[in-house]
Amino acid sequence: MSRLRFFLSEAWEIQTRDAAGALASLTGLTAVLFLLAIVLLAGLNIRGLARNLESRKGIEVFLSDGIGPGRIDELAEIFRSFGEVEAVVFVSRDESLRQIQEDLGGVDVVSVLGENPLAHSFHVRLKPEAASRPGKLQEIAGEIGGYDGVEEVIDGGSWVGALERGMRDLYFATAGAAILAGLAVILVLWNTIKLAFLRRHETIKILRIVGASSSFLRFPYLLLGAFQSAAAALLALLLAAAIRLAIVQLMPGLRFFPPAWAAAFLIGACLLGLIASYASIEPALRNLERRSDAVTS
Amino acid sequence: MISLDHVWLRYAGPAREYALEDVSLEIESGEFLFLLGPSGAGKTSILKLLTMEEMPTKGRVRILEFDSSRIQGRELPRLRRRIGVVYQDFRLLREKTVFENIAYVLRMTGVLDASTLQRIVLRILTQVSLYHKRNQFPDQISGGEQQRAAIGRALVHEPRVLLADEPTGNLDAASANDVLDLFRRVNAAGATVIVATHDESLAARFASRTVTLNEGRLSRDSRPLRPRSR
Repeated sequence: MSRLRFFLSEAWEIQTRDAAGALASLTGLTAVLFLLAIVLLAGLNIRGLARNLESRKGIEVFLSDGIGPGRIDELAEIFRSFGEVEAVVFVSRDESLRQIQEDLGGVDVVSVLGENPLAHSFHVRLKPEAASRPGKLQEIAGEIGGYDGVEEVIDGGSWVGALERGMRDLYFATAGAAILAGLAVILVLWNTIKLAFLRRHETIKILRIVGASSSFLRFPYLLLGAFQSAAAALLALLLAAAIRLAIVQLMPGLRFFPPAWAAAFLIGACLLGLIASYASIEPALRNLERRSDAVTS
Repeated sequence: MISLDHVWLRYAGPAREYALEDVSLEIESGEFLFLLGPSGAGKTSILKLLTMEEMPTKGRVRILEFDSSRIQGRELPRLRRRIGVVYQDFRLLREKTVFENIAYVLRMTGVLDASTLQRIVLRILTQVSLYHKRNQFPDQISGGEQQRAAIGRALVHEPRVLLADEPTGNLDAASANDVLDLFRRVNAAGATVIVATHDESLAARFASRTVTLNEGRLSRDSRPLRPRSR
Protein backbone atom coordinates (compact mmCIF):
# COMPACT_ATOMS: atom_id res chain seq x y z
CA MET A 1 0.00 0.00 0.00
CA SER A 2 2.78 2.42 0.96
CA ARG A 3 4.56 1.38 -2.26
CA LEU A 4 1.53 2.34 -4.32
CA ARG A 5 1.16 5.58 -2.38
CA PHE A 6 4.80 6.41 -3.14
CA PHE A 7 4.41 5.72 -6.85
CA LEU A 8 1.16 7.70 -6.95
CA SER A 9 2.89 10.69 -5.40
CA GLU A 10 5.74 10.33 -7.91
CA ALA A 11 3.27 10.23 -10.82
CA TRP A 12 1.49 13.27 -9.42
CA GLU A 13 4.79 15.12 -9.05
CA ILE A 14 5.79 14.34 -12.65
CA GLN A 15 2.41 15.62 -13.81
CA THR A 16 2.39 18.80 -11.75
CA ARG A 17 5.98 19.64 -12.68
CA ASP A 18 4.71 20.32 -16.18
CA ALA A 19 1.11 21.34 -15.56
CA ALA A 20 0.76 23.04 -18.97
CA GLY A 21 1.96 19.95 -20.82
CA ALA A 22 -0.32 17.73 -18.75
CA LEU A 23 -3.28 20.00 -19.45
CA ALA A 24 -2.55 20.05 -23.18
CA SER A 25 -2.32 16.28 -23.22
CA LEU A 26 -5.53 15.91 -21.21
CA THR A 27 -7.35 18.25 -23.60
CA GLY A 28 -6.12 16.34 -26.66
CA LEU A 29 -7.05 12.98 -25.15
CA THR A 30 -10.47 14.25 -24.08
CA ALA A 31 -11.17 15.55 -27.60
CA VAL A 32 -10.24 12.22 -29.20
CA LEU A 33 -12.17 10.15 -26.67
CA PHE A 34 -15.17 12.48 -26.89
CA LEU A 35 -15.34 11.92 -30.67
CA LEU A 36 -15.10 8.19 -30.08
CA ALA A 37 -17.88 8.40 -27.47
CA ILE A 38 -20.11 10.23 -29.96
CA VAL A 39 -19.44 7.62 -32.67
CA LEU A 40 -20.18 4.81 -30.21
CA LEU A 41 -23.29 6.58 -28.98
CA ALA A 42 -24.56 7.00 -32.55
CA GLY A 43 -23.79 3.34 -33.20
CA LEU A 44 -25.64 2.31 -30.05
CA ASN A 45 -28.75 4.25 -31.02
CA ILE A 46 -28.73 3.11 -34.63
CA ARG A 47 -28.32 -0.47 -33.49
CA GLY A 48 -31.30 -0.08 -31.15
CA LEU A 49 -33.39 1.29 -34.00
CA ALA A 50 -32.29 -1.52 -36.31
CA ARG A 51 -33.18 -4.16 -33.72
CA ASN A 52 -36.59 -2.62 -33.43
CA LEU A 53 -37.03 -2.83 -37.19
CA GLU A 54 -35.67 -6.36 -37.29
CA SER A 55 -38.25 -7.48 -34.78
CA ARG A 56 -40.86 -6.59 -37.38
CA LYS A 57 -39.29 -8.79 -40.05
CA GLY A 58 -41.93 -10.61 -42.13
CA ILE A 59 -44.51 -9.72 -44.77
CA GLU A 60 -46.43 -6.49 -44.43
CA VAL A 61 -49.80 -6.71 -46.16
CA PHE A 62 -51.48 -3.31 -46.62
CA LEU A 63 -55.22 -3.49 -47.15
CA SER A 64 -57.32 -1.33 -49.47
CA ASP A 65 -59.05 1.76 -48.15
CA GLY A 66 -62.61 1.14 -47.09
CA ILE A 67 -62.23 -2.62 -46.65
CA GLY A 68 -64.87 -4.00 -44.31
CA PRO A 69 -64.24 -5.97 -41.11
CA GLY A 70 -65.79 -9.10 -42.62
CA ARG A 71 -63.32 -9.16 -45.52
CA ILE A 72 -60.46 -8.47 -43.09
CA ASP A 73 -61.40 -11.55 -41.01
CA GLU A 74 -61.78 -13.62 -44.16
CA LEU A 75 -58.35 -12.66 -45.49
CA ALA A 76 -56.76 -13.34 -42.11
CA GLU A 77 -58.29 -16.83 -42.09
CA ILE A 78 -57.08 -17.56 -45.64
CA PHE A 79 -53.53 -16.44 -44.90
CA ARG A 80 -53.44 -18.42 -41.66
CA SER A 81 -54.36 -21.54 -43.59
CA PHE A 82 -51.14 -21.37 -45.62
CA GLY A 83 -48.84 -24.16 -44.46
CA GLU A 84 -45.80 -21.85 -44.36
CA VAL A 85 -47.47 -19.19 -42.24
CA GLU A 86 -46.96 -19.22 -38.50
CA ALA A 87 -49.01 -16.18 -37.52
CA VAL A 88 -51.10 -13.40 -38.99
CA VAL A 89 -51.44 -10.29 -36.86
CA PHE A 90 -53.90 -7.58 -37.76
CA VAL A 91 -52.62 -4.04 -37.24
CA SER A 92 -55.25 -1.35 -37.45
CA ARG A 93 -54.40 2.00 -39.03
CA ASP A 94 -54.67 3.62 -35.56
CA GLU A 95 -52.28 1.08 -34.09
CA SER A 96 -49.80 1.70 -36.97
CA LEU A 97 -50.03 5.42 -36.37
CA ARG A 98 -49.35 4.94 -32.67
CA GLN A 99 -46.27 2.79 -33.42
CA ILE A 100 -44.86 5.27 -35.93
CA GLN A 101 -45.37 8.16 -33.55
CA GLU A 102 -43.57 6.15 -30.88
CA ASP A 103 -40.64 5.41 -33.24
CA LEU A 104 -40.38 9.09 -34.12
CA GLY A 105 -40.13 9.99 -30.51
CA GLY A 106 -43.67 11.22 -29.98
CA VAL A 107 -44.02 13.43 -33.05
CA ASP A 108 -47.73 14.06 -33.71
CA VAL A 109 -48.00 12.81 -37.31
CA VAL A 110 -51.71 13.66 -37.68
CA SER A 111 -51.16 17.29 -36.74
CA VAL A 112 -48.35 17.46 -39.30
CA LEU A 113 -50.14 15.67 -42.16
CA GLY A 114 -53.71 16.61 -41.30
CA GLU A 115 -54.99 13.00 -41.18
CA ASN A 116 -53.85 9.45 -40.53
CA PRO A 117 -52.28 8.44 -43.87
CA LEU A 118 -51.85 4.78 -42.90
CA ALA A 119 -53.88 1.75 -43.96
CA HIS A 120 -55.02 -1.33 -42.03
CA SER A 121 -52.45 -4.08 -42.41
CA PHE A 122 -51.52 -7.63 -41.59
CA HIS A 123 -48.12 -8.66 -40.35
CA VAL A 124 -47.59 -12.17 -41.68
CA ARG A 125 -44.85 -14.19 -40.04
CA LEU A 126 -43.59 -17.38 -41.70
CA LYS A 127 -42.58 -20.52 -39.88
CA PRO A 128 -38.77 -20.47 -39.35
CA GLU A 129 -38.14 -23.35 -41.79
CA ALA A 130 -40.11 -21.53 -44.53
CA ALA A 131 -38.61 -18.12 -43.75
CA SER A 132 -35.10 -19.48 -44.06
CA ARG A 133 -35.80 -20.96 -47.53
CA PRO A 134 -34.49 -18.60 -50.25
CA GLY A 135 -37.29 -16.93 -52.20
CA LYS A 136 -40.08 -18.32 -50.03
CA LEU A 137 -40.87 -14.95 -48.50
CA GLN A 138 -41.21 -13.39 -51.94
CA GLU A 139 -43.30 -16.34 -53.22
CA ILE A 140 -45.85 -16.12 -50.38
CA ALA A 141 -45.87 -12.32 -50.69
CA GLY A 142 -46.71 -12.63 -54.39
CA GLU A 143 -49.56 -15.01 -53.68
CA ILE A 144 -51.00 -12.79 -50.95
CA GLY A 145 -50.79 -9.79 -53.29
CA GLY A 146 -53.22 -11.49 -55.69
CA TYR A 147 -56.16 -11.42 -53.26
CA ASP A 148 -58.91 -8.89 -53.56
CA GLY A 149 -58.75 -6.25 -50.83
CA VAL A 150 -54.96 -6.33 -50.69
CA GLU A 151 -53.51 -3.00 -51.78
CA GLU A 152 -49.79 -3.64 -51.44
CA VAL A 153 -47.47 -6.30 -50.10
CA ILE A 154 -43.99 -5.62 -48.84
CA ASP A 155 -41.86 -8.63 -48.20
CA GLY A 156 -39.00 -7.92 -45.86
CA GLY A 157 -36.41 -9.44 -48.24
CA SER A 158 -35.02 -6.25 -49.69
CA TRP A 159 -35.05 -4.09 -46.56
CA VAL A 160 -33.79 -6.89 -44.35
CA GLY A 161 -30.85 -7.27 -46.70
CA ALA A 162 -30.32 -3.53 -46.72
CA LEU A 163 -30.62 -3.44 -42.94
CA GLU A 164 -28.05 -6.21 -42.55
CA ARG A 165 -25.71 -4.47 -44.96
CA GLY A 166 -26.25 -1.19 -43.15
CA MET A 167 -25.56 -2.79 -39.78
CA ARG A 168 -22.42 -4.43 -41.10
CA ASP A 169 -21.23 -1.08 -42.45
CA LEU A 170 -22.06 0.52 -39.11
CA TYR A 171 -20.01 -2.06 -37.21
CA PHE A 172 -17.06 -1.54 -39.55
CA ALA A 173 -17.34 2.24 -39.26
CA THR A 174 -17.53 2.05 -35.46
CA ALA A 175 -14.63 -0.38 -35.30
CA GLY A 176 -12.64 1.85 -37.65
CA ALA A 177 -13.38 4.92 -35.54
CA ALA A 178 -12.44 3.02 -32.38
CA ILE A 179 -9.11 1.90 -33.92
CA LEU A 180 -8.34 5.44 -35.11
CA ALA A 181 -9.23 6.88 -31.71
CA GLY A 182 -7.12 4.22 -30.00
CA LEU A 183 -4.15 5.06 -32.21
CA ALA A 184 -4.65 8.79 -31.56
CA VAL A 185 -4.77 8.17 -27.78
CA ILE A 186 -1.58 6.12 -28.00
CA LEU A 187 0.13 8.80 -30.09
CA VAL A 188 -0.83 11.68 -27.77
CA LEU A 189 0.15 9.76 -24.64
CA TRP A 190 3.31 8.38 -26.23
CA ASN A 191 4.44 11.95 -26.84
CA THR A 192 3.36 13.24 -23.45
CA ILE A 193 5.09 10.48 -21.53
CA LYS A 194 8.20 10.72 -23.70
CA LEU A 195 8.43 14.46 -23.02
CA ALA A 196 7.87 13.95 -19.29
CA PHE A 197 10.60 11.30 -19.33
CA LEU A 198 13.04 13.49 -21.26
CA ARG A 199 12.41 16.41 -18.91
CA ARG A 200 13.45 14.12 -16.04
CA HIS A 201 16.30 12.53 -17.93
CA GLU A 202 19.03 13.75 -15.58
CA THR A 203 17.08 12.60 -12.53
CA ILE A 204 16.51 9.21 -14.11
CA LYS A 205 20.19 8.86 -14.95
CA ILE A 206 21.07 9.57 -11.32
CA LEU A 207 18.45 7.14 -10.05
CA ARG A 208 19.80 4.55 -12.45
CA ILE A 209 23.35 4.81 -11.16
CA VAL A 210 22.28 4.67 -7.53
CA GLY A 211 20.46 1.42 -8.24
CA ALA A 212 16.90 2.09 -9.42
CA SER A 213 15.49 -0.87 -11.33
CA SER A 214 13.56 -0.44 -14.58
CA SER A 215 10.28 -1.30 -12.89
CA PHE A 216 10.92 1.32 -10.18
CA LEU A 217 11.53 3.96 -12.85
CA ARG A 218 8.74 2.77 -15.12
CA PHE A 219 5.86 2.47 -12.67
CA PRO A 220 5.11 6.18 -12.07
CA TYR A 221 4.94 6.73 -15.84
CA LEU A 222 2.55 3.82 -16.30
CA LEU A 223 0.33 5.29 -13.58
CA LEU A 224 0.57 8.70 -15.23
CA GLY A 225 -0.54 7.30 -18.60
CA ALA A 226 -3.38 5.33 -17.07
CA PHE A 227 -4.58 8.33 -15.03
CA GLN A 228 -4.46 10.77 -17.89
CA SER A 229 -6.41 8.50 -20.21
CA ALA A 230 -8.92 7.54 -17.50
CA ALA A 231 -9.48 11.21 -16.61
CA ALA A 232 -9.87 12.08 -20.31
CA ALA A 233 -12.33 9.19 -20.79
CA LEU A 234 -14.37 10.36 -17.81
CA LEU A 235 -14.45 13.92 -19.15
CA ALA A 236 -15.41 12.64 -22.61
CA LEU A 237 -18.29 10.61 -21.12
CA LEU A 238 -19.49 13.62 -19.11
CA LEU A 239 -19.39 15.81 -22.23
CA ALA A 240 -21.27 13.19 -24.27
CA ALA A 241 -23.86 12.89 -21.47
CA ALA A 242 -24.29 16.67 -21.43
CA ILE A 243 -24.78 16.75 -25.20
CA ARG A 244 -27.29 13.91 -25.06
CA LEU A 245 -29.14 15.78 -22.31
CA ALA A 246 -29.25 18.88 -24.49
CA ILE A 247 -30.71 17.16 -27.57
CA VAL A 248 -32.90 14.54 -25.90
CA GLN A 249 -35.78 17.05 -26.05
CA LEU A 250 -35.61 16.91 -29.84
CA MET A 251 -35.03 13.15 -30.02
CA PRO A 252 -36.82 11.63 -27.03
CA GLY A 253 -35.74 8.03 -27.70
CA LEU A 254 -32.01 8.86 -27.63
CA ARG A 255 -30.19 6.44 -25.35
CA PHE A 256 -26.96 6.87 -23.38
CA PHE A 257 -24.36 4.19 -22.65
CA PRO A 258 -25.51 1.51 -20.22
CA PRO A 259 -23.24 1.39 -17.12
CA ALA A 260 -21.34 -1.66 -18.44
CA TRP A 261 -20.48 0.22 -21.65
CA ALA A 262 -19.33 3.29 -19.73
CA ALA A 263 -17.18 1.11 -17.46
CA ALA A 264 -15.70 -0.67 -20.51
CA PHE A 265 -14.96 2.73 -22.08
CA LEU A 266 -13.07 3.85 -18.96
CA ILE A 267 -11.20 0.57 -18.55
CA GLY A 268 -10.34 0.50 -22.27
CA ALA A 269 -8.95 4.03 -22.08
CA CYS A 270 -6.91 3.06 -19.00
CA LEU A 271 -5.45 0.06 -20.83
CA LEU A 272 -4.57 2.22 -23.84
CA GLY A 273 -2.86 4.63 -21.46
CA LEU A 274 -0.80 1.80 -19.97
CA ILE A 275 0.17 0.49 -23.41
CA ALA A 276 1.13 3.96 -24.67
CA SER A 277 3.21 4.74 -21.56
CA TYR A 278 4.98 1.40 -21.71
CA ALA A 279 5.73 1.78 -25.42
CA SER A 280 6.97 5.31 -24.83
CA ILE A 281 9.47 4.77 -22.03
CA GLU A 282 10.60 1.19 -22.54
CA PRO A 283 13.08 1.92 -25.37
CA ALA A 284 14.51 4.88 -23.42
CA LEU A 285 14.92 2.75 -20.29
CA ARG A 286 16.55 -0.05 -22.25
CA ASN A 287 18.87 2.45 -23.87
CA LEU A 288 19.81 3.80 -20.46
CA GLU A 289 20.52 0.26 -19.21
CA ARG A 290 22.93 -0.52 -22.04
CA ARG A 291 24.54 2.87 -22.31
CA SER A 292 28.27 3.02 -21.76
CA ASP A 293 30.61 5.62 -23.15
CA ALA A 294 33.42 3.14 -23.30
CA VAL A 295 34.43 1.20 -26.38
CA THR A 296 33.78 -2.43 -25.60
CA SER A 297 35.33 -5.24 -27.57
CA MET B 1 36.17 -9.72 -3.56
CA ILE B 2 36.99 -6.87 -5.97
CA SER B 3 39.31 -7.47 -8.83
CA LEU B 4 40.40 -5.77 -12.00
CA ASP B 5 42.06 -8.24 -14.30
CA HIS B 6 44.21 -6.70 -17.07
CA VAL B 7 41.66 -3.97 -17.62
CA TRP B 8 41.87 -1.59 -20.55
CA LEU B 9 39.37 1.20 -21.03
CA ARG B 10 38.91 3.51 -23.98
CA TYR B 11 36.04 5.97 -24.27
CA ALA B 12 34.23 6.40 -27.56
CA GLY B 13 35.19 9.53 -29.48
CA PRO B 14 38.01 10.95 -31.51
CA ALA B 15 40.68 10.41 -28.82
CA ARG B 16 42.46 7.11 -29.36
CA GLU B 17 44.18 7.02 -25.97
CA TYR B 18 43.19 4.56 -23.33
CA ALA B 19 41.87 5.94 -20.04
CA LEU B 20 43.17 2.79 -18.37
CA GLU B 21 45.91 0.52 -19.63
CA ASP B 22 46.37 -3.01 -18.41
CA VAL B 23 45.32 -2.33 -14.82
CA SER B 24 45.20 -5.31 -12.49
CA LEU B 25 44.17 -4.89 -8.89
CA GLU B 26 42.84 -7.09 -6.10
CA ILE B 27 41.01 -5.55 -3.16
CA GLU B 28 40.09 -7.70 -0.21
CA SER B 29 36.75 -7.52 1.52
CA GLY B 30 36.86 -4.96 4.35
CA GLU B 31 39.89 -3.08 3.02
CA PHE B 32 40.27 0.72 3.14
CA LEU B 33 42.01 1.85 -0.01
CA PHE B 34 43.03 5.20 -1.42
CA LEU B 35 43.24 5.58 -5.18
CA LEU B 36 45.78 8.33 -5.70
CA GLY B 37 46.76 10.21 -8.81
CA PRO B 38 46.51 13.54 -10.56
CA SER B 39 43.49 14.62 -12.51
CA GLY B 40 43.02 12.39 -15.60
CA ALA B 41 45.02 9.52 -14.11
CA GLY B 42 42.06 7.15 -14.35
CA LYS B 43 40.71 7.15 -10.76
CA THR B 44 37.13 8.01 -11.73
CA SER B 45 37.29 5.49 -14.56
CA ILE B 46 38.08 2.75 -12.06
CA LEU B 47 35.12 3.78 -9.90
CA LYS B 48 32.88 3.80 -12.98
CA LEU B 49 34.07 0.32 -13.85
CA LEU B 50 33.27 -0.87 -10.33
CA THR B 51 29.68 0.41 -10.57
CA MET B 52 29.64 -0.94 -14.15
CA GLU B 53 28.60 2.46 -15.42
CA GLU B 54 31.33 1.71 -17.93
CA MET B 55 32.43 -1.68 -19.19
CA PRO B 56 36.08 -2.50 -19.85
CA THR B 57 37.26 -2.39 -23.44
CA LYS B 58 39.48 -5.34 -22.60
CA GLY B 59 39.90 -7.37 -19.44
CA ARG B 60 37.48 -8.14 -16.68
CA VAL B 61 36.11 -6.53 -13.53
CA ARG B 62 34.68 -8.54 -10.66
CA ILE B 63 32.90 -7.04 -7.68
CA LEU B 64 30.84 -8.89 -5.08
CA GLU B 65 29.38 -11.77 -7.10
CA PHE B 66 29.15 -9.75 -10.32
CA ASP B 67 31.42 -10.14 -13.30
CA SER B 68 31.64 -7.54 -16.09
CA SER B 69 32.01 -10.25 -18.71
CA ARG B 70 28.74 -11.91 -17.77
CA ILE B 71 26.51 -9.30 -16.16
CA GLN B 72 23.14 -8.58 -17.79
CA GLY B 73 21.64 -5.09 -17.94
CA ARG B 74 18.80 -6.08 -15.61
CA GLU B 75 21.32 -7.15 -12.92
CA LEU B 76 22.97 -3.73 -12.72
CA PRO B 77 20.45 -2.24 -10.24
CA ARG B 78 21.05 -5.20 -7.89
CA LEU B 79 24.81 -4.52 -7.98
CA ARG B 80 24.43 -0.77 -7.53
CA ARG B 81 22.06 -1.17 -4.60
CA ARG B 82 24.86 -2.96 -2.76
CA ILE B 83 27.38 -0.24 -3.44
CA GLY B 84 27.36 3.30 -2.10
CA VAL B 85 28.90 5.96 -4.32
CA VAL B 86 29.86 9.52 -3.47
CA TYR B 87 30.30 11.37 -6.75
CA GLN B 88 32.62 14.28 -7.25
CA ASP B 89 29.72 16.29 -8.71
CA PHE B 90 27.34 14.96 -6.00
CA ARG B 91 24.61 13.95 -8.47
CA LEU B 92 21.83 14.92 -6.10
CA LEU B 93 18.23 15.15 -7.29
CA ARG B 94 17.62 18.89 -7.70
CA GLU B 95 13.85 18.64 -7.25
CA LYS B 96 14.04 16.66 -4.01
CA THR B 97 14.88 17.83 -0.54
CA VAL B 98 17.98 16.57 1.27
CA PHE B 99 15.74 14.17 3.22
CA GLU B 100 14.08 12.89 0.04
CA ASN B 101 17.41 12.47 -1.74
CA ILE B 102 18.54 10.10 0.98
CA ALA B 103 15.15 8.42 1.43
CA TYR B 104 14.93 7.66 -2.27
CA VAL B 105 17.73 5.10 -2.11
CA LEU B 106 16.01 3.31 0.75
CA ARG B 107 12.75 3.24 -1.19
CA MET B 108 14.57 1.62 -4.10
CA THR B 109 15.79 -1.11 -1.79
CA GLY B 110 12.22 -1.76 -0.67
CA VAL B 111 12.04 0.20 2.60
CA LEU B 112 8.72 1.95 2.18
CA ASP B 113 7.29 2.00 5.67
CA ALA B 114 7.18 5.70 6.54
CA SER B 115 8.26 5.41 10.18
CA THR B 116 11.19 3.06 9.43
CA LEU B 117 12.27 5.32 6.60
CA GLN B 118 12.06 8.40 8.79
CA ARG B 119 14.09 6.77 11.56
CA ILE B 120 16.90 5.58 9.27
CA VAL B 121 17.16 8.80 7.26
CA LEU B 122 17.18 11.01 10.35
CA ARG B 123 19.98 8.91 11.86
CA ILE B 124 22.06 9.34 8.70
CA LEU B 125 21.27 13.05 8.52
CA THR B 126 22.57 13.43 12.07
CA GLN B 127 25.73 11.49 11.19
CA VAL B 128 26.49 13.81 8.29
CA SER B 129 25.42 16.90 10.31
CA LEU B 130 22.59 17.84 7.99
CA TYR B 131 19.58 17.32 10.25
CA HIS B 132 18.87 21.05 10.26
CA LYS B 133 19.00 21.18 6.45
CA ARG B 134 16.77 18.17 5.84
CA ASN B 135 13.96 20.12 4.19
CA GLN B 136 16.20 22.22 1.95
CA PHE B 137 16.75 21.55 -1.73
CA PRO B 138 20.32 20.94 -3.02
CA ASP B 139 20.44 24.38 -4.65
CA GLN B 140 19.68 25.98 -1.28
CA ILE B 141 22.70 24.51 0.53
CA SER B 142 26.47 24.98 0.19
CA GLY B 143 28.83 22.76 -1.81
CA GLY B 144 30.12 21.16 1.38
CA GLU B 145 26.60 20.42 2.54
CA GLN B 146 25.75 18.91 -0.83
CA GLN B 147 28.87 16.77 -0.46
CA ARG B 148 27.63 15.56 2.93
CA ALA B 149 24.14 14.93 1.54
CA ALA B 150 25.73 12.78 -1.18
CA ILE B 151 27.69 10.91 1.49
CA GLY B 152 24.47 10.37 3.47
CA ARG B 153 22.81 8.97 0.38
CA ALA B 154 25.74 6.63 -0.25
CA LEU B 155 25.65 5.28 3.30
CA VAL B 156 21.95 5.05 4.07
CA HIS B 157 21.43 1.52 2.74
CA GLU B 158 24.54 0.21 4.54
CA PRO B 159 26.42 -0.80 1.40
CA ARG B 160 29.02 -3.56 1.36
CA VAL B 161 31.27 -1.38 -0.77
CA LEU B 162 31.63 2.39 -0.51
CA LEU B 163 33.22 4.28 -3.39
CA ALA B 164 34.02 7.96 -3.00
CA ASP B 165 35.35 10.22 -5.73
CA GLU B 166 37.16 13.24 -4.27
CA PRO B 167 34.78 13.22 -1.29
CA THR B 168 36.59 16.02 0.51
CA GLY B 169 37.12 18.27 -2.49
CA ASN B 170 34.55 20.81 -1.31
CA LEU B 171 35.27 20.58 2.39
CA ASP B 172 37.54 22.45 4.76
CA ALA B 173 40.20 20.47 6.64
CA ALA B 174 38.05 19.85 9.72
CA SER B 175 35.04 18.68 7.70
CA ALA B 176 37.31 16.52 5.53
CA ASN B 177 38.62 14.78 8.64
CA ASP B 178 35.05 14.27 9.89
CA VAL B 179 34.11 12.66 6.57
CA LEU B 180 37.12 10.37 6.61
CA ASP B 181 36.37 9.43 10.24
CA LEU B 182 32.89 8.53 9.12
CA PHE B 183 34.34 6.38 6.33
CA ARG B 184 36.61 4.73 8.90
CA ARG B 185 33.58 3.81 11.00
CA VAL B 186 31.81 2.43 7.92
CA ASN B 187 34.95 0.42 7.15
CA ALA B 188 35.19 -0.80 10.74
CA ALA B 189 31.61 -2.02 10.43
CA GLY B 190 32.77 -4.32 7.63
CA ALA B 191 32.36 -2.37 4.40
CA THR B 192 35.10 -2.09 1.82
CA VAL B 193 35.94 1.58 1.25
CA ILE B 194 37.69 2.98 -1.81
CA VAL B 195 38.47 6.69 -1.85
CA ALA B 196 39.72 8.32 -5.05
CA THR B 197 41.66 11.51 -4.41
CA HIS B 198 44.47 13.60 -5.83
CA ASP B 199 45.34 14.76 -2.30
CA GLU B 200 48.33 12.70 -1.14
CA SER B 201 48.37 14.33 2.28
CA LEU B 202 44.85 13.06 2.91
CA ALA B 203 45.96 9.48 2.28
CA ALA B 204 49.12 10.02 4.30
CA ARG B 205 47.08 10.79 7.40
CA PHE B 206 45.64 7.27 7.38
CA ALA B 207 47.58 4.08 7.58
CA SER B 208 45.83 2.55 4.62
CA ARG B 209 46.72 0.88 1.38
CA THR B 210 47.27 3.38 -1.42
CA VAL B 211 47.22 2.60 -5.11
CA THR B 212 48.72 5.26 -7.33
CA LEU B 213 47.66 5.75 -10.92
CA ASN B 214 49.49 7.72 -13.55
CA GLU B 215 48.23 8.28 -17.08
CA GLY B 216 45.93 5.30 -16.86
CA ARG B 217 48.57 2.94 -15.52
CA LEU B 218 48.96 1.56 -12.05
CA SER B 219 52.30 2.92 -10.89
CA ARG B 220 52.46 2.00 -7.19
CA ASP B 221 50.58 -0.19 -4.73
CA SER B 222 51.73 0.39 -1.16
CA ARG B 223 50.32 -1.34 1.85
CA PRO B 224 50.69 -0.02 5.39
CA LEU B 225 53.39 -1.59 7.47
CA ARG B 226 51.97 -3.89 10.08
CA PRO B 227 53.73 -4.35 13.41
CA ARG B 228 55.52 -7.68 13.46
CA SER B 229 54.03 -10.23 15.76
CA ARG B 230 56.41 -11.54 18.32
